Amino acid sequence: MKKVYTCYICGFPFVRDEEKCPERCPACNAPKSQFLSEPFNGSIDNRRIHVDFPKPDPNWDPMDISYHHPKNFKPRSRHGRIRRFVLGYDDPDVTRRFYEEVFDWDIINTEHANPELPLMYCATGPGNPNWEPKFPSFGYGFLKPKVTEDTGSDPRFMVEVDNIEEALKKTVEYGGKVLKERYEVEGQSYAVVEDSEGNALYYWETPDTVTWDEPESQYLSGRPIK
Amino acid sequence: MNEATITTYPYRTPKKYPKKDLHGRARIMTLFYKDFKRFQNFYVNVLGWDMIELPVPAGGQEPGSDKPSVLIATGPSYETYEGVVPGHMNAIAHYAQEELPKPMIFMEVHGGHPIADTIHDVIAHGGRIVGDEPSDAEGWVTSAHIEDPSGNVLQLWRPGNSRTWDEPETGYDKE
Repeated sequence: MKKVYTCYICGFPFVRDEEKCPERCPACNAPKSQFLSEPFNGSIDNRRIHVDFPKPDPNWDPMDISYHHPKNFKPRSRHGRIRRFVLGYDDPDVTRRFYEEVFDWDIINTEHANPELPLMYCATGPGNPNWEPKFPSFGYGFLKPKVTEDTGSDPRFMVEVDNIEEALKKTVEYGGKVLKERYEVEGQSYAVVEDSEGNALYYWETPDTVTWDEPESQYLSGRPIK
Repeated sequence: MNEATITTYPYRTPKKYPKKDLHGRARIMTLFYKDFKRFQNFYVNVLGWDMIELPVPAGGQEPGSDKPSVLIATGPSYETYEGVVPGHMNAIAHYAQEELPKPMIFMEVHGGHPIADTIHDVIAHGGRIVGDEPSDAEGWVTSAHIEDPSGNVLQLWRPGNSRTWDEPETGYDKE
């Protein structure tokens, strides 16, 4: 018999055949004993059991990885957000065609790209006119010629930071390495670092042109209050 | 980046994605670590990330493991650890038993299609499968690793069929 299960810990509802009910909540890992159940009535929206979602706890120990609502991120800051992926390429045409045809990406050369070996910017789903994603939980990124990678580290993602110098100082303090200090290209500031494990990444300093009205600049945490 | 500005694309807007399908979206960055406490100390203190153990049904380790797989909010997120606002990717991190693999994109592919169809397209366009041939499993755990023509490894993920399409992350260009 199909049932709707609602997790009492995280509020997540899901539908399963009774005999295939998982031992743990797919969203928060709570044991089966925490599930509330009811008959499936054609749609998950028709369920009668609703459990309030948890709220961020301002006193949560950030080192505690048991299930909790994500923290409230601070307003007027995009510090720490993974904003872009970066993939190196050997042949621009082959790689571009691969992602366009297999994964339906929309790919453009960046504004001042070298036409022979362009830096390409990729929309992987719906976007706004400023080429930022329109919906949450996915990202845009770059295809970059491998030959232009000058740190020898092959960084694969870009994190936005409030201030590059402060981020570099903390990077070293917490076991990372600076591979390339701040450099500027057409008004944008970047650095390349390695984390404590050896993963290379870019830092991108929040541009001073940000108005904080952009959808990608919002800081709402949790479900909007209706 | 060192070739161009990345903030303005004046000549056109991105194309429309009118299908009820998240195929091709780069959903998550997957990272690897050798020492969890060291990894956590770095990302919590330098970049302010927030982590939970990845649930077992989603491929996580048993609760309390000292080599946990973790789900990470890198920016504002729901209680499900899906983003609340657009423009950022959350992350997953796993223990690396051997050499540290490169960070990789965790990309969603067609729901409701056998993952073999996507793999067929990958191979036809110069990519290849990494590791075992994938098979479709019930629920939300079907995935495969592939390599693009430039040697970048990606994890493909075929979602389960229990979406309501009211989830904020499932938005598409409705016309």
